[in-house]
Amino acid sequence: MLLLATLIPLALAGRDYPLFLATTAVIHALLAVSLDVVVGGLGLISLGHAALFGIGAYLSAAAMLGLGLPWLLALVAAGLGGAVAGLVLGALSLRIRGHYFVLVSLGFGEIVRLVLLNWKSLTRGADGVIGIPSPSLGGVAIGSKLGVYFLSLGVLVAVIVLTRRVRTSPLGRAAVAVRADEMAARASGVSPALVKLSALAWSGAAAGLAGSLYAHFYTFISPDVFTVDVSVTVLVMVIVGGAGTAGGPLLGALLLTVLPEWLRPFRQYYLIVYGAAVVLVMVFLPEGVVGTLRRARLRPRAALT
Amino acid sequence: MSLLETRGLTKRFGGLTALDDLTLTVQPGEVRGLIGPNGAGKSTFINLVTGVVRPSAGSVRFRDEDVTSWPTHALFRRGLARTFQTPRLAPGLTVLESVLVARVHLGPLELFRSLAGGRARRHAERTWRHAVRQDLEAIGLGACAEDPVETLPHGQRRLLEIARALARGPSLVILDEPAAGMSDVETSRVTTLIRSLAARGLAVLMVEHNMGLVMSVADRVSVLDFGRVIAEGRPADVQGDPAVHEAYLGRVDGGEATPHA
Repeated sequence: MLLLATLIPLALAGRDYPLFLATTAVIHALLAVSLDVVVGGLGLISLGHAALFGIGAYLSAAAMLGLGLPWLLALVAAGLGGAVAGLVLGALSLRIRGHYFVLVSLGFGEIVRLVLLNWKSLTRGADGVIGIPSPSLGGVAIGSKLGVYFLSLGVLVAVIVLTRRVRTSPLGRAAVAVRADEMAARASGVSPALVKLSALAWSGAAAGLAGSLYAHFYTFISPDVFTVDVSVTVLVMVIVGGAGTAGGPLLGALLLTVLPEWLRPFRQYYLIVYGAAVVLVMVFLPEGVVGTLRRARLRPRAALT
Repeated sequence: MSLLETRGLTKRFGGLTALDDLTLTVQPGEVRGLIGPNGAGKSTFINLVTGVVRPSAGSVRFRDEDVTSWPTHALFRRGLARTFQTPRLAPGLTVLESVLVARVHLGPLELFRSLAGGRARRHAERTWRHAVRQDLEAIGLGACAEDPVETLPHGQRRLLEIARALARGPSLVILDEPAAGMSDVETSRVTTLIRSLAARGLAVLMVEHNMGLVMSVADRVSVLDFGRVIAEGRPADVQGDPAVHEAYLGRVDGGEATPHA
């Protein structure tokens, strides 16, 4: 998969639009992997992911434009800001149970969007922030689309590797226990609060990084970019691909980035076809594409034993 | 000095007093049976002591510390572990992993340690796994250590819950009906297990309806009825107590419950 992700864009080097799509897909994949830490990891549905994404984007832009920091530090600031925002969202939802998390995250997302829109002295309100510099490493600007693509891919791969590491760690094991039964997890000495806050901090950090990549790739951000639509789309990516599976969020992100392009010939009917496709996947593959494939592979073996 | 001590422990659910001014102590290394008819307050008592629900009044002391309303996980770390009436295990984990969850302490900065990874961490993981595997062998779950918990039969689920409760070397284990739904063979295995825990110096507080089990392993028995202790003492003495008979069987005109003593 990594090989394909390297080779295909190289082949597209001269053509801007496919490369633009590929980079968008990578940023979406980062968001989907980040959200899956909450959805697949904790079993919680969040509709506030755009807020974490947006906070990362605005912080990164502010770090470079306002403070004149180099890109790498801006990226780190976006990650830290996302983590703090994730912790805030986590802290808000510790006292509530189950599905109410959806409402809290939805409210959280709206509050952040409204702050971005109305705190004009800081965010320039609805006008947005323009002229965000391209990423640069060691003083060398990476202006080319291909360069930004590989930078994004690098961040994505790093986040995937680290996420897998956490998932297989004692913390990841404890998360499985908390998701299944909080009371039983407590009886194992696990504090559900610690597990949830850790997961949301990591999820927020990854979403913040995605925000930074987005800001420097598009060079323009505004509150309109970080609406609940984005939260929903990323959630659909995770669920269509398969929450809690290794490749699911990646596949979901790829499908939902490319699908609108394939559906272009349908013009005004595009949203209907898109919606129908998503509904069909949800109905017939409730565990997502990867989740269903995995089950199909496991079943014959289970039948033998 | 007592290991566990409740004073004036009271729990009211609306107008119903489930537990009424209950004072009870458990000594270190003691096996205590807690019996009583349905609705006597046994489960409420366990839930209050293990921090699942908050008392309306009264206090709980454990190892010379006021632990009233401490959360369950903090009590577990302090050495007070419990099992549930119906085993509560996490599907998605193997038998070994379920015990590992209880074995490994998670610090507040656990996320950073997990992200950093490293050799020391992998080494620690191997050590934990080895230790847990040995504990599982000892309790009779060695053969299914790698099995998903959802494939375990009921009796082994109970054993696994006990293994989980023991994972961090507690000083008091509260067993909520450890023999419920178990066959005679499994019950005798649990009996042996509880005796071996006692031999290691662990205190056990056990709610159980199987009188044979309670009478054969408990050092002392407390009988609850309507949220109060109506009798307490050595199993033989409690068995002969008229108040206990009355609680279970009712007065001469009779109730329906018959304990199989």
